Amino acid sequence: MILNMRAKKGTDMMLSMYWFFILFLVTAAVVYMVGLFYGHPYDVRELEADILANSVVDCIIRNGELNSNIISGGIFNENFDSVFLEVCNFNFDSEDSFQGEIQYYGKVDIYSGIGVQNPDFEMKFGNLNIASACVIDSGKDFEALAKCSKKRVYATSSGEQYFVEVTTAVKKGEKNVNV
Amino acid sequence: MLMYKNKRAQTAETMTWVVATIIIIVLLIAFIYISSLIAGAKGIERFAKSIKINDKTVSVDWVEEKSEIALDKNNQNENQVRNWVKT
Repeated sequence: MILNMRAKKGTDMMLSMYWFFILFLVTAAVVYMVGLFYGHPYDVRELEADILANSVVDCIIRNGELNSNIISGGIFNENFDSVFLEVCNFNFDSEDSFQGEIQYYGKVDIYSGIGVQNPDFEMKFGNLNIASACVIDSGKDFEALAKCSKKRVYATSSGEQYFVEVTTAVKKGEKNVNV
Repeated sequence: MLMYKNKRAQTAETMTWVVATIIIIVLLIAFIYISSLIAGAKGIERFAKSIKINDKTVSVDWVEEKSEIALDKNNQNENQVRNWVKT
């Protein structure tokens, strides 16, 4: 009888140890899952590229007309890129964590007609090394590189038709994707 | 005979616990995998490009609106222009 009671006590102890182990396992898994979910960064680069493209469009086209700093009397100002940041109030200075490397890229192409191959006006700004991401833009390997946004806007200047294509890209992979 | 039956019962009980443990571990691994998938897919919803007013869809994309303003000034080849903007 005493032997039986001792055996029962031993089994109960084993069982409670087992339950503690399972409890620990489930708790650890829940903590890991929460960490996994909230530790994963939000990828806002596409939105950021969209906002940048919107700002560029807003700067170069006002009331359906091309900015007079870009075109005047039907002649494009080829030096617009040198005053672009000032005219459009852009600041591409990067945070310290990027060691001074500019994290943005943009391109403005203006065509005088639909289907025209070469743009009448072309301007690039920011980090030109990111540009390749907008061409490739596929596969997981390039996900960390940059996200792009493309906008097509119709504009006029002195009654003439112009077709504006704005491409922007945001790098900032370190802050938006787990690499 | 009694001892033999007791041993069989013990083996069955142990097997039950082993299977239960395996099920718990498999479920936990599945949940961890699913949460990692959801974590990878989470994102911020982009702003609406159109809204419904009186059952009519109205564009609120102001970049598109810029093209509309320009079309008010010069609507030559309007359909072609609209198609180009949308592609």
